Amino acid sequence: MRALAERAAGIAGGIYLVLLAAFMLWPVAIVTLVSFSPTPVFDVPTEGASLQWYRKLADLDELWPAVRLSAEVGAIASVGALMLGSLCALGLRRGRLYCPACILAFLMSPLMLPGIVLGVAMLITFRATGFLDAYTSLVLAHIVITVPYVVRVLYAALGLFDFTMIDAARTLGYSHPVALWKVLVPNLLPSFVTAGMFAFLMSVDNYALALFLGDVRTVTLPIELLKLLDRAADPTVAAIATLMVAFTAALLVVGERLIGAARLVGRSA
Amino acid sequence: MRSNADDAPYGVLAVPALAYLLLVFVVPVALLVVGSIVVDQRLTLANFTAYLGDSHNLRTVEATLRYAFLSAAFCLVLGYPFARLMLGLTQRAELLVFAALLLPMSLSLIVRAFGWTILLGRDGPLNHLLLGLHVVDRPIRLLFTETGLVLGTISIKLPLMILPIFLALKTIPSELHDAGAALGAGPLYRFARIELPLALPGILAGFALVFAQAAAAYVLPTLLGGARMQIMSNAIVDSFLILQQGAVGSTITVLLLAIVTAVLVLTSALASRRVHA
Repeated sequence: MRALAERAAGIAGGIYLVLLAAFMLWPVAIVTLVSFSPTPVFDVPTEGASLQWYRKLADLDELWPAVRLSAEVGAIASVGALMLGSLCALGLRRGRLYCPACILAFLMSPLMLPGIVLGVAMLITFRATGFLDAYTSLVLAHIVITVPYVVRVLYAALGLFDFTMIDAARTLGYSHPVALWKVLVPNLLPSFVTAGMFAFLMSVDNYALALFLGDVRTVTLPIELLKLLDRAADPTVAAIATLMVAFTAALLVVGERLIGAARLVGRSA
Repeated sequence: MRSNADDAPYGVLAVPALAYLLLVFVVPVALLVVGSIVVDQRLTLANFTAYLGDSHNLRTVEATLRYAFLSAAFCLVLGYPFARLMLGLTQRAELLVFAALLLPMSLSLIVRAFGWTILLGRDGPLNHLLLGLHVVDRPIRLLFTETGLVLGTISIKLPLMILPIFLALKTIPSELHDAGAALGAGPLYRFARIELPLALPGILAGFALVFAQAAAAYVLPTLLGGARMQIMSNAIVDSFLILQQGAVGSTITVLLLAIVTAVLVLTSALASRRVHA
């Protein structure tokens, strides 16, 4: 009798887990379904699928410049963050710095601050200094929010790196920077790729900074998406959204191949 | 043996990133805060009393706090049992649940919010479901209501509540429950006196995260709350981009920053007091 009750409780618990997980995944699933809808209403297609909304994407004149801008800003910001962040992680691991934990906490603090607050702070600062180029200010701002990811991934990776290998390379005659470049960088390449990927995804997904720092001609993908959603949209927006989900999923699969699911989960948690 | 690598000045490598953050992150935030509390070279809260003196603005702040609190409270009520149930899973099932929690977090927020606008529509799946279950007899308005907004926010912020609670619960040795039971404590007593105090740091962390993120959310209230939902984030964006009233916008921004910081500091203080007590 008691075993039966426990079994029933176990099943009820399982149902709860599945239902709540579905509640979290539902919004993404519905967007994907709607993008294949044969009709222009936002509903789950019941009879047949259609690719018409994907074909219509080509006609959206303002979409492609936004995609391009987001990709450019994301790429430049990721490279900048990779350089600053990986050097910094190395300095934190190997240097004799005062309170490395405090410095690490400081490096993470841009992620603690609401995006809107960061956007406003940068807007008024750039305005006050007369620095008005939207493109450059976007790149500068995106480096601030991507450096934390790079530091976090590489700080963890460097903790597992065996630095006696550097000593060995030095003994064999390499100078210090060359030893790092020839031994450390190839060894940690998967971590560099992961860090860059995270940085790129975070930059492309960020709306708050572009909301304040962008202008009429500097519109990133999230802002363009918000604009499209504002005009009573058809499933074309769902098609864009589905492609974005597919792109992120593809990057995550690449990341999983590179460093393994368990570590990816452990790091981003 | 400490390696001879120590002779290299590694610490210097941290300088460029720190200098960059100082210049492009700390200075702007400091300028924002100082600009709102220093008027005519005098320290004053005049900007804030003037803003809060207006009953319309007060309602905006109230709506923000209410929305953030409701979101965090519902996430806690739904998320706690979830985290608790995760403890009993096999490693494989646990990894699967982790994926379900982390995957949506890496997808675009706008895409997920957009998904909820479809779900909540008058002709949307949620209304179909309610009609099918005979909960309602005609489609009800969900989109652009507080209910719809909070529902969408819960579904999107739940992982932020579940993960810290799960991590806190995982540190509790199962022997503790058995010991309590052996000493005659009932399930309710064990929950209140053993589990809850030990899970409290996780609960507080989750609550603070969801509260802070909801209080400063812009996309969700804009897409799910509609034009009638006036909260601080919308007010900030409006005052900078539409009304061109940067001074008012800065005041609201600093107020929002103060609220978010207060919640984070308060909860972490509570959590550490619990641990040291």
